[in-house]
Amino acid sequence: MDEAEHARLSRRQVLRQVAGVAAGAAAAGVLAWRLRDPTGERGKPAQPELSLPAGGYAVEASSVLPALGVATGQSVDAMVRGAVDAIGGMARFVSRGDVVVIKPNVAFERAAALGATTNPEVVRALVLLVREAGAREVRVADNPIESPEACFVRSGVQRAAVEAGATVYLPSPRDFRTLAVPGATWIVRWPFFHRPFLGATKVIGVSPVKDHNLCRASMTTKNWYGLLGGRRNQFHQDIHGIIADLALMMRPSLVLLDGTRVLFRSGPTGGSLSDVRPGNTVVSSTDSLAADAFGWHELLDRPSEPLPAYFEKAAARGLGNPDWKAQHVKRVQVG
Amino acid sequence: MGDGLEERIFVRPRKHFRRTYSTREVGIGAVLLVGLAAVAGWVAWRGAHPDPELSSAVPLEHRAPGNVDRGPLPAGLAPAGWREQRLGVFDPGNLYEKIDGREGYYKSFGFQRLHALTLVPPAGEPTVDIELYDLGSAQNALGAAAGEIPATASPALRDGTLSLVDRNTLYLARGKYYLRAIGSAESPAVREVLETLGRRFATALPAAALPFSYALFVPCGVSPGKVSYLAENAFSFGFARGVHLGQLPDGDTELFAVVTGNPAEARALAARFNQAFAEYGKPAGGAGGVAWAEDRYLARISGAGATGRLVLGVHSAADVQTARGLHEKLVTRAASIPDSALVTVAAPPRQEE
Repeated sequence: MDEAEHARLSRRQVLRQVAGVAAGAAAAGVLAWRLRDPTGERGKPAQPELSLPAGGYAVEASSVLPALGVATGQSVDAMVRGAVDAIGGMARFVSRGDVVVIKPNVAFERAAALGATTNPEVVRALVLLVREAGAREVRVADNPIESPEACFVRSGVQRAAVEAGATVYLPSPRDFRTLAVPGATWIVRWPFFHRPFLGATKVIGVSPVKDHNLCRASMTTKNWYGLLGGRRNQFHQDIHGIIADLALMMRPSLVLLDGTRVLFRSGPTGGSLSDVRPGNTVVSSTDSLAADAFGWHELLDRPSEPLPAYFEKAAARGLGNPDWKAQHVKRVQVG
Repeated sequence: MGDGLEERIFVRPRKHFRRTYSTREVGIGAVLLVGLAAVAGWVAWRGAHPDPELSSAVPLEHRAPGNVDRGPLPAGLAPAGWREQRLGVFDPGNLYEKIDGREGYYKSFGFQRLHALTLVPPAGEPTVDIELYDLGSAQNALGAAAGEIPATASPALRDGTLSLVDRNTLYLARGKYYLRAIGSAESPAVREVLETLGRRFATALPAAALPFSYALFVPCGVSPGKVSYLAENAFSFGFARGVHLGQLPDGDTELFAVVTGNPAEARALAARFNQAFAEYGKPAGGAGGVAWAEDRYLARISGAGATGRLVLGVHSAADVQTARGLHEKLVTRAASIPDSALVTVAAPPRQEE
């Protein structure tokens, strides 16, 4: 094309070319927008959304058996067995061939005596009881705040669980899948530590009794927080809302409130032995809210203070009954 | 379109319109090339110097501290035969990775940075975890310590350092730093390590002037661990802001002080306190500008008076005579505190148990 020809470009040609370039640029922009992946999640292989079984892992409710079993004494083995026997015995919750997930609270790298984690002796006794009931496999799992390896070792839970015959599941990034929790406020879709739950048929939560700086108390309902992945700290803006969501997310077969020690201040991390007092109690229930309310009144010893807000939120969803005094409570004194 | 040369819009068919590049274009190209070369160089250097943590075969709990900034942690904290492990530094953005659920407590005290380190004996147990919090000011550090020190313990205040070894834990506040050293068990060996650490940090950390409330309350019998500060709503009075408090060993009686702008303001505020106390009870006599009131439910005595631009008061004393005596002590102590020290630092509210 010589200069003379170039100079003869008509207005129509120019407009056509401008329109072509603009359309190309717009198409590229639309394509780029559709391909955007700021979190990197879209670039990963697609995984189906996870759902827990309808009705969770709850066992059939009983109108005859006590709602709460409360065992007090000195022997951890006897307290665990006594508390579970008080509400029907482990055979009510675990059948021969079951695959059972036990979820202790191993959130922090603290020695057991400091009360920030589930007492390993309670975990040991519980694993033995579950195996005795005929479970095919027992898995102990948690997603701690600090290094999982260090938390499980320092708390003593790793050794206790393994010695009792359980398999310990430590979380790694590939162990999380998006869990759908319909009706939840904060975790409608959220990363969940799912690997221990593959093929699981029963779930038992076992948590310590702790003061908590944000939600005032951390017990069996808050314990399920340790199954979440992602940036969990963002839930602090509505800590009671997320705990109510946790009650919705996990309908366990059984919960045990480990009141052998009580971290009554400086929780949930604790650190000083002066913040811990002996509780010498283990509580069992199928109702997390009832167990937690008992813990609040009798183990944290705060009978004159109102229950933390999560009780009301979870109860409003029909996820339990915090009025434990109105229910059938069986207390046993063991060795 | 003029002469057509500079007005051309497109070049076709696929030919350079010009035979040469302008100096500016060459410059821009050179800058881009240098930038790309720098990125490539950085990638190559990182590849040649990988983070050893990525391929370490040593379990995490047995690794020695890496090249993490020790910050204010003195070197060589491990006693003979012990070793340091797991040095970590946390800022407000990732503190939850260390203490999820309790980070709000330290953030309410102006948290800036946490240096954490574990000391491990040859046998592996018991360990001592060191947590050194930079809380930005002495008032914050003292406040955080006071909120965690057990209620029944009495820390020592010496040379600007508040410290206490209680069972398995060392609490120490000095300058803007608050230190907790936590033994995994209670034992003579752990206690010895904690006491050594206490002496070490008391000299290694930079000191800062203590709030005037320590000079005011501690000589009146208040334990240094029971000096606190309420930014607002003291005694449930909406007007009671910036109140320094000191709780006496009986667990009920509190001394308090508020800094105002001038003596007239102090007199007006003292009168407001007296009026508010009286609304909850009945008059119990007055002297020296203080109108004592007896709480109708608790039968305890409260009142306040003005001294210079300070409001000095006693809350919930056992009787009027005790209240008067304590107030006189406060007035005497206040006379020895220079006006320049009467500063109320913006501080967090007292932590309730």
